[in-house]
Amino acid sequence: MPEKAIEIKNLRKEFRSSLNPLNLVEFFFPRHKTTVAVDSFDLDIFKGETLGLLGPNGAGKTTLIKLLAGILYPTSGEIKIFQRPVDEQKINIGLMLGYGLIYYRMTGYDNLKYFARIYRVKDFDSRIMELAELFDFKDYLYDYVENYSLGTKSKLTLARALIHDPEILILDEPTLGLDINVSEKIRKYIKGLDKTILLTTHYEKEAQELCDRIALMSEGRLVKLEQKEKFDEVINSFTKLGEKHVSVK
Amino acid sequence: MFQLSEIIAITKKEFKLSIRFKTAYLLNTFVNPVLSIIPLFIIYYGFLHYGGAEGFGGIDLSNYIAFLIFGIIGQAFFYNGINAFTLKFREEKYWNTIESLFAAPINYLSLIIGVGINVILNLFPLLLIFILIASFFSVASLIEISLIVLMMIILFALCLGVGLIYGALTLFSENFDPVFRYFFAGWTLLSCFAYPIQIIPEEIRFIVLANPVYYAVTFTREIWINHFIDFNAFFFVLVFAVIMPIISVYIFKIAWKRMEIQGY
Repeated sequence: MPEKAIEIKNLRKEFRSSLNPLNLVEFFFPRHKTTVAVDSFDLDIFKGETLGLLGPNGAGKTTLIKLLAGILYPTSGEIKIFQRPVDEQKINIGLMLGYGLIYYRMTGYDNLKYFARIYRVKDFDSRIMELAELFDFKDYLYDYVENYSLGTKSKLTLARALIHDPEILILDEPTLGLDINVSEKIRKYIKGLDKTILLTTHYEKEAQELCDRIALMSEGRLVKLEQKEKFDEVINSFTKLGEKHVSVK
Repeated sequence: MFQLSEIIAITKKEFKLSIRFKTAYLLNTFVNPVLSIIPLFIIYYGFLHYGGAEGFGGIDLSNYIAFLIFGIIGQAFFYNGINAFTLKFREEKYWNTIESLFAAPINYLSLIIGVGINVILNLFPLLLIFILIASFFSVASLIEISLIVLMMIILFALCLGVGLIYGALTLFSENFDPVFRYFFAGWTLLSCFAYPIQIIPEEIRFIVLANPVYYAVTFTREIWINHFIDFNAFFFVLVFAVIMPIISVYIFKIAWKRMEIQGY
């Protein structure tokens, strides 16, 4: 039995939000709405495997990722990373969350250097150069990130996630909005990594190419979990959900 | 425990972000505080020179400049300490970078120290300029100047601790912001930055006498004007400065676990 890298048990996350006040009474005594983003979620991810998380918009994928990264705390349930609480394992997690998590008002180099120091990378200069060369943004390394193209921002965000060579990589739609060449390059790199990877994507091809197992999430719940070989079954389930968010790229 | 490399990384990052617009940075750091003191000088000078006032609460023509200078220095450290995290968190909230802070294995005391060092570096030129101006009117020894600088750092640590609670709660809900600002407005009034304690009605003067910020400012004034070192005041402020950051980190962690960031 392979070692469990991530264990999720009976996870639930609720968000409480106030409704827009419609009148003076509601302005002073606002009504609240509770949204369940993740519900009764159980999942084990094994060391070294790449698990793809599919699901329509609003399924709770990003919330789940934020819970795993320690950005959010669960309402109930438990997450263990290598049998320890998330808070104690943040240093072993690399996170890519859209184009966020990087400072546009600093250069690419300063961004990577900052995160390298925070994640206690010793020889950070050579690591920064290695990643900049790998993702082909060495020429822009000393430019402000605000001047980067979407693709270069995406590469920098991925480099940020990898700067400390983490054991677990959590990638939220890593190729969203990127052109075919950049997407291909990032996919190729991810495929070559010997790490535990959790990846959300809307792209069927990406999931099929990169993942060992595929999980389908809907309305906060895990509705299907299959090996790569049964990928078509997952897609069929997805279609049956009445959603057609998985596009072919 | 917090690490030195972590603190240095946070300080450098904060400094690089603050000098993204260099002209604004220089004007905000050097010109704005000097501008803020000018109206007070005019008022005091007018009353004492032309208004016939001989003095009030120990302030007279010989010492009002030093009195105001150390009040304004104290106010600058107070204001910047209180607001450091609110401004920081709000920026990072809308830049979508706040999550990188919480996803990273950062010790929150390192965060306080790192952010604090950057703000204090911005304040130091002001402190030196104002001490230089005050030196034209009366002279203090090197030890006295060192104690003044130390007291300002201690005051800043205290305010930074309070600022972290303010910053955390306004990060989660901006509804907290005006409530806190009213509280800080009251706190400012009861800290006697620009006037002596005698101006405060006797019925509420006990609040001023329990206020560590008042003691911090009075400590610096007493050193400069009367060459008197009030160690009781020093340790009174020090106790608050040690306790506040620890309490604020504790509250911050609880708030982070129980509340969600709203409004972006």
